[in-house]
Amino acid sequence: MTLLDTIGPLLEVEDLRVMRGGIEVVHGVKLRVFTGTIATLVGPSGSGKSATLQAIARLLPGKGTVTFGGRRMDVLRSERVARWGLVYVPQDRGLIGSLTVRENLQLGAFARRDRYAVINDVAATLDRFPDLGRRATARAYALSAWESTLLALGRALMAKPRMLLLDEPTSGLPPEGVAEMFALIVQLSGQGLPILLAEQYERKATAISDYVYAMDRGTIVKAGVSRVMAFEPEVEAAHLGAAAP
Amino acid sequence: MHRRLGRREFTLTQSFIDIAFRGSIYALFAIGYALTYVAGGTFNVAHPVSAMAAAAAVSWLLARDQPIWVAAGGGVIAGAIAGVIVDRVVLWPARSRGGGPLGPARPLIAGLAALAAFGALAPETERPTHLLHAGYFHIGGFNMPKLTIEGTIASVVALLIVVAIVRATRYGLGLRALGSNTSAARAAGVGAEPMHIRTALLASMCGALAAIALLTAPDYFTGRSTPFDLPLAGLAAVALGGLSSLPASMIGAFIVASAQILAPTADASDAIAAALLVLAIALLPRGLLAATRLRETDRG
Repeated sequence: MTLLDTIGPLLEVEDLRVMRGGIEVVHGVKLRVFTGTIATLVGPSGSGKSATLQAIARLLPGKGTVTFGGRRMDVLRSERVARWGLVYVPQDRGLIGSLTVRENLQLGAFARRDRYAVINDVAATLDRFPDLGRRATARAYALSAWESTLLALGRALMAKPRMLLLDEPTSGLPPEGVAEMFALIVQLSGQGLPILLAEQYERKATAISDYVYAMDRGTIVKAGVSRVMAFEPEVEAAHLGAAAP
Repeated sequence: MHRRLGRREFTLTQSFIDIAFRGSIYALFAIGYALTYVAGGTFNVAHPVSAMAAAAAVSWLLARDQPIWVAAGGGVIAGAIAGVIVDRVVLWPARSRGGGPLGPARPLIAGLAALAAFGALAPETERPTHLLHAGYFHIGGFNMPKLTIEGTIASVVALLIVVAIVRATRYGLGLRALGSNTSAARAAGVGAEPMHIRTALLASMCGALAAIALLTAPDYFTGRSTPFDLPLAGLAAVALGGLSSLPASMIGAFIVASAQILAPTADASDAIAAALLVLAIALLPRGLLAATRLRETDRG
């Protein structure tokens, strides 16, 4: 038993089964994420990482239980899950192309009622990410990959999340962008925000994580603390799988 | 300056006022189609129910000697309630069940059934002709009933309010997001069903107000006795402009109105709207203003 086990997980997923196009793509996944930690799902493309995150966010139909902060999420609609503070950032960024950067940020705070605080938070987010601040009035479809990723992250932060579900946030970024994104994730985690990450850069993701789940063909094949998992053959295999042509 | 076209006598001023009047009414009605399509991705064929309910309520209230503004308010409320009831009772169950041989046509068929049922049950509507002769404005050598001018102003103001709501409110932001990327909008906390209800309410109020404004039209330039011809003109407007664009559907509405007003005879209004509808479907499958669409699935 670890120290974390005595605290209790913030997010607990039990026997999650996910259907996509009538086919079960995730088979009985079980995972836990604790307050202030980064847990990472690693695995080759098509191993079910994104489907798992989407099912936790209730954007894909799933069976099994998802408990977040002591409340069952698997009985709620996706917008309710977001309002509870479990905020999903999709791999394709999920930006609304026809809206400006500022409007996309405002959309992130859609569920919030503190209207004046939202105005301040939009300004603060644009200050925090100067690359976005310079494009505040630009339409989201005109942004670069890096700016789009920042906007997706900024929009999620506008919801005042209690936990982030990040689906391959480094996807499509140049190498320097990947390093910056991982640094940003570490920074967010350092501020106390728990993160469940799905990643293609397994080694780098494992390096910044507290706990790692290796997925393959819709199941978790190995799980453990990152220092141990970094040397596991399943993680190595996942890395090779992602790198393979 | 007068000119004679067929059986109708025109002045430029009169034509301009007629186009403004009829165009704003059509635009208000067409915008209801556009709003519900943006929110849900399905065409609300039952939208005229709100217009019918509003016209019936106004007629009923006027027959009981209520002032016109009380009747208009009652009409808008009746139209809004009818629209929301149709959305919740008829369209929502049809929308939420996909698949099967009917597939995406399910909400269309359910909407048609609602429209037919309401059309059969709705009471006769009488135009408030006595009120039309209560006062006139004299514009450019042309006498226009005061009530008609007020109806035009109310339609234009309502259009501006709807555009402002969609452009500058939290609801509008959610609506645009839902139309553009439903999944991302839901992930950001935008509730699809609450948005459908609010949109049904707003669209129904537009439809109701359009019907009420049309009741104030003087006989001599509409050639119509009921507001139930609105759907054809509204359909032609959204087909011309583009179903998921508010400015485009408004422009479409003014094109339809212009074509009808400038036609040699008022009796051809419905034929003109039908012809424009068919032509738009055949020649402009995405409408006139593709860039202003609010629904992402329409792009490409």
